Amino acid sequence: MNFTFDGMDLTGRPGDTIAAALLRAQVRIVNRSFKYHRPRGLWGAWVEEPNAILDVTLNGVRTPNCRATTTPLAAGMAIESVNTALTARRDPLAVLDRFARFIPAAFYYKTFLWPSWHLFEPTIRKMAGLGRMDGTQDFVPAAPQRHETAELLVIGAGPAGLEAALAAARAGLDVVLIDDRDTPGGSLIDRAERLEGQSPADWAAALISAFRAAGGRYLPATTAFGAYDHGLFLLAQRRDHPAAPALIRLRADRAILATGAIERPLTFVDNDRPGILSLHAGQAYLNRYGVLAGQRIAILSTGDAQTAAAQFRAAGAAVEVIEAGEGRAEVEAVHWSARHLRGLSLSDGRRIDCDTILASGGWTPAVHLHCQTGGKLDWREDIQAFVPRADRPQILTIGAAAGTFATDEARSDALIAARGDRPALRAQDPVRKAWPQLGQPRRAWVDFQNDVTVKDVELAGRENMRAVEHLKRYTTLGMANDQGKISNMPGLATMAAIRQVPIPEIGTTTFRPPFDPVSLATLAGPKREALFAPPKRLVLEPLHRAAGALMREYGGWLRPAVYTDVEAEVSAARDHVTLFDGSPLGKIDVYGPDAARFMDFIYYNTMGNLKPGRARYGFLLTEGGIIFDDGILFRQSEHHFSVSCSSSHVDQVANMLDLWRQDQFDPDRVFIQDATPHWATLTLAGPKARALMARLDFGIPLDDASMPHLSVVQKDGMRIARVSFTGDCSYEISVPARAAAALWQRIVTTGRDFGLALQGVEALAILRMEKGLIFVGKDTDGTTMPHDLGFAAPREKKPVEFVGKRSLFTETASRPDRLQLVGLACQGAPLPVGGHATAPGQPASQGYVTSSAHSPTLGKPIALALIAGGLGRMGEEVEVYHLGQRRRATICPGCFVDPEWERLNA
Amino acid sequence: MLDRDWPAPADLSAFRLELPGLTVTTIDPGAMTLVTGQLDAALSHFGLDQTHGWPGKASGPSYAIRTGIDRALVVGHDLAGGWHGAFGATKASDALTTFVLQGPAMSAALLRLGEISLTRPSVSATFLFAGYRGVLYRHEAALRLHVSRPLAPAFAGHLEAVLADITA
Amino acid sequence: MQSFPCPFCGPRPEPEFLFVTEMGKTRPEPAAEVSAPVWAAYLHDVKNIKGEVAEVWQHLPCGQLYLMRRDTTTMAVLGVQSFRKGGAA
Repeated sequence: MNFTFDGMDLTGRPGDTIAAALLRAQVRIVNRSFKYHRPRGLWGAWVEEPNAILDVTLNGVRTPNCRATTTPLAAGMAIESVNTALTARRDPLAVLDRFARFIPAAFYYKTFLWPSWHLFEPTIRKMAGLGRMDGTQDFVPAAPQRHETAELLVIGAGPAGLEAALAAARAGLDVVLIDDRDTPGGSLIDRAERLEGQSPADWAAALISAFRAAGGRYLPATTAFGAYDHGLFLLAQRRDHPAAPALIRLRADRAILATGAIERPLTFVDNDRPGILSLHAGQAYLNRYGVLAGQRIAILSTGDAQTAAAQFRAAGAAVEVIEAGEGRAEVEAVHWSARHLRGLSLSDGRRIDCDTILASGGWTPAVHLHCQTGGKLDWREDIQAFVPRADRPQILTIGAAAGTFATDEARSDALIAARGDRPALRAQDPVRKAWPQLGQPRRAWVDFQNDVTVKDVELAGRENMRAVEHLKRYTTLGMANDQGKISNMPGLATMAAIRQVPIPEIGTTTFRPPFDPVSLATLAGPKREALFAPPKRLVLEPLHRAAGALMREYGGWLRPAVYTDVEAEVSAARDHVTLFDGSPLGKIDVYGPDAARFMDFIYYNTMGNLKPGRARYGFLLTEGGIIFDDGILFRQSEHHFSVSCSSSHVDQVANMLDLWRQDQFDPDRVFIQDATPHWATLTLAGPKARALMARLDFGIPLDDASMPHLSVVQKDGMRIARVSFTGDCSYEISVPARAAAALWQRIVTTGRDFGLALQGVEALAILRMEKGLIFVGKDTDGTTMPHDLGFAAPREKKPVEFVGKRSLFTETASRPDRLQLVGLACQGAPLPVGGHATAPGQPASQGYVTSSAHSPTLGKPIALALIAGGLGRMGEEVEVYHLGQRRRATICPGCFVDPEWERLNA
Repeated sequence: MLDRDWPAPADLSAFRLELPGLTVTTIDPGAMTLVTGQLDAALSHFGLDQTHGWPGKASGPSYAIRTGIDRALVVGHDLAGGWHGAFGATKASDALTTFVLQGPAMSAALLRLGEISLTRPSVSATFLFAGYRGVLYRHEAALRLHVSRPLAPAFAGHLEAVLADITA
Repeated sequence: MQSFPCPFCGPRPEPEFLFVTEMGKTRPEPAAEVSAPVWAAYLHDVKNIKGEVAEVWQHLPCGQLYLMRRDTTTMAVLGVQSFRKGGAA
């Protein structure tokens, strides 16, 4: 399998990860470190890898920041190192390393404070960061998402997980077993550990077969990256590169965590040199991929490394095993020249020539998922590690993740856990401590990717950033892609030494999802782009489009903004008649014997005395007295009202009604049902509306006595209401959606004789502004009460209780300088919406412009504004300040056109 | 304003999604009425003897689906909107678009729609599907799913997207 | 994402639910006799207890309000109860 790395043509084998292929091709320097641009090689062989973050281009798709150790190699991949000015081998920015003593932890915080961080940010940003995105590329295709359930979820198909899953499945449980590798076996494969006379691969495959035969479901290549409340686990299921992993939301009654452990590095001088790998990684590359990490290997280990050494020797390497840790010789120097590891020197005077160092400082159980659910940890002195406390009733941790490292012990514990019992703690032979030494003369790395050294931790200690969460943020320790999988424990131990307290007193930082980086495409799933927040569609949309309408979103609906010309549409509505699609207007049914009393409680205005067939404008308030919505209430019959709320608020109003109904009323005597989507509403408005209605001949009398303003009739399955949002005589004709197109066509045809024009939302916004009629949320804000709009009568006179009533009488609600809705008259161009009103020449805001436009009817600009005490300041001059400009305006009544409302009945 | 050029919605009466093991289409199930109040009275008005929850087993052209403690969707019957003494009726024939999911991959489809399973019954058949309010139940050998008509074009796109990886 | 039991519909995922209020608040009435501090407490005071709480939740698809007892430290649901006469469970 051919691929390129930084332009070099290389060859890998099927089954290789990118890391295995690079190691096979003897590429030692895979990257540069984040801060000092030090050359970096592979450290790990799987999710713990901190260094090998690479950009991968395959089939024209560039995927930044792929981790080499977990990304399967594919033929044709073009792989680039990140964080380098040229290539991983030759990086001119490596010069930064010479200045390391001048750029310690928190250097940026301290140095670029003055005069302004923003001055330095662009340059620093350019140098920082890892992979490079291809900005010309489309989004990667959506990742699929699905839900799953299980009685038992077993995470990890190593020896412990396999045994537990099989036993539970055989006991009849619905078991899902997941593992982040393509094949089962876990650490057995890495160590080539034979079981029951079989190779680890054969043994694991046999258990998987038996598990499946017992009804178990095995999901390979699947990482549990998050554990949440009520048994929910988020799983990322790998797909072929570059497809983002699929997301599975799995809810399990119980879970067994058999997630293994991660090997710790040794923190010696220059321990970040390429060619220094974890011992476990060296074994994994050999046993899993058939790649020998080096020809002359020095193993530095706190534990028994003879088995591993024998494997390397059998593969042809020369191996020297050196005991590391407390009481043993320390590494005094790592010899590095001409971009190659040459050997190391020990404090006892030995010098060992080698091209590879495999280091082991003990094991850190992978406790992430346990902690994500809120589980606590206990410190175990014998293994110098934190293990899960037995505090999660539905989650058991077994095997190396629980600090039980021996395979036979882990397997027998697995059988106990499969039954739902918690295995007893097993004491281990004490490990040799190997924590970082303070006061080393040269740098020893704690966090490889973020270039945090022991010196940096010491600096944090001196500067009193001693709490573990402070330490993390001050030094960025543990903040890299690996989230401290290998760096946290040495970091904590260093701080413990500085503070001279035991490690458990330092504690750990909080474990949060994800355990392993997850593509945003995986989390987003298919609900994105056009599917992210789609608007509601009008049944008449095809007709609007055919008529040339510009469609725009208004309050969650895609509506005709304008057909031809906004001002022409306004003029048509004032001079002739217009047809407007008002279908989104709310139609919420309220029924029942207590409906009238309910409406009185819900509305600011008195509604219970409304006669059947009549309608009334009113406000819905919050309990805080703030205007929540406005609209017309129709009384259809004695026990049936219809709430015509704002188009954008239907769902919220319907739910608000349902909440009050259940909270304050007998829910068996008043009922709520949203009727909106069944209907299409066609609105005719203008001085010729009544004549056009007569010509359309719906068979209803149209005279002011039979059908006055604010009335409603039912006829032939239609609901015809006479209401007005333009100030002219206006009718709303509501028909079932399927009948709307025919009616629309008939009105358009019949309307020709009356100068009918189609009218969009933008024209309506001006028509209502000319009348001083509000849009809630545009001309009101989070403080506006009805009396601020001049609707003071119910506040003063309505005797019965209603929502928000008490709030209308607080000290704040009675202040004379409340923001009140008024008009603003001015010369020239329309005032800027959002511009602040001030006293002339004064800086303090007295309110702001809420709506503004040129009025075609009056031939001059008009505006609505919320102004402090505005209703009592008619005729007063203010200035409107906006983006450095000041304009003069005069406070006036909000109703600019036909203030006597004579056109309503014209 | 975050304007976006929305394409004209597809004609959902011709909607058809063919996937391995699953076919999704739309139908007009006839008249639909939402009732709320005393459900016993409503059911006897329509001559129905029960409501179906999830997964339910509705059949034929006429049945009632439970959508709340005092709410039901009656399919196959029309009634004037208003208060009928013991219950209120709201016309819904044009309020809901009805999708039909059929085939051996129905269970797999459910896993992609939400945290919902044929083996976990519910008294009511209303759900939120990624934010879409819907009524879902078994009707004979198929699943019927009603969503609000104005959102149905978007929901059709949602179905296409979330079911894309389905396998028989 | 938690899983909550609706007393009517049974277990459903968290996005189907709306927290309404802590249990135990009574709307002070009539407005003319309610002092400002009493009203302010009704509007704004939230106990926000760590541990066992009793809360009013709404299951959005069916619309029902119900009482849910849960533990805000363990996130365990301790019980649910319908407010409706003869309401299920």
